[in-house]
Amino acid sequence: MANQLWFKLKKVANPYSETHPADLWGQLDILILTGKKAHLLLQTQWNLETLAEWFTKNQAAFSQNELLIQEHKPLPGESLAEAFRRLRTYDFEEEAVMFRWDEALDDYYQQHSLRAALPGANVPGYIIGWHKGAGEISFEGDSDKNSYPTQRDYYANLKQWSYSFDMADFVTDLQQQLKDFLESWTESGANQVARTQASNLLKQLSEKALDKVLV
Amino acid sequence: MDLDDATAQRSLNEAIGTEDEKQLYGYSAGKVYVFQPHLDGVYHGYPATQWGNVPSKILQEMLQSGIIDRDVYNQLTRKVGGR
Repeated sequence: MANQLWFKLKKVANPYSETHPADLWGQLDILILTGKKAHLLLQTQWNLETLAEWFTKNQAAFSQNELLIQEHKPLPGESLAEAFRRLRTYDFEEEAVMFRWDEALDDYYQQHSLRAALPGANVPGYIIGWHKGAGEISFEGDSDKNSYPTQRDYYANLKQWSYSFDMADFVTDLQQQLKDFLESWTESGANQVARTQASNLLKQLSEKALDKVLV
Repeated sequence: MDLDDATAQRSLNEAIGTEDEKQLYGYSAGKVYVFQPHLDGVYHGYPATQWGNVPSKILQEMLQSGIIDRDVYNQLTRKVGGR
């Protein structure tokens, strides 16, 4: 049986409600179920509005697109995170060539990185995508030393890893998680702007789900 | 935010963005800053320290217009050295 990747979301009290009252604050738990054992890959709290926007915008890309940057793809045995890290080391003399390369890498990153889904959050650069005929979430051991200083000791102990998973199940489950999370805001959000934003995101999410059926 | 209020406001006032993103991007004293909107006209700013904090097109625009130099560009794009 294939591994299962879960993003579990729940509405929690916003510690920054005085300065950011319109945020759709919540807790995100990322778990991978291998066999009968669940491994917690990340637990964080953030404005999950950005996760909903990222999912709605990039669902098709991250669930289907292989990593392919100008004919460069992962080497045999490389995870997506390892390959992405290697491709980032390439340098170019000519600025125009460098710009085209960086744009291609940036396009992939924006569609497949956890950091792109949670901009500004103190989270590691997990890569999620389609690889070797299945979903894959991977981490390259991250050497961005300026990252997440408050949690550096924790992440510094993490080695590189990768897990394959059932992508269709993940997409279906995350869609439902986001729907439930946004509904919790439309039903009981204290801030009118937050309720309206949750309602708009819910509508976009539903339209995206409908697109999927029609295609 | 590691800038005083006046410097941060100046960086925000001069920040640039893209058509399809809500974030704005500014520069001050050797660092690129990301301004994340929370309400209309209200932003949370933080320094860009890693790949993906700033879209490639923004960094290119900053490099070409002389706002940042190649060293700053490379810091936010190239992965160098070992783990």
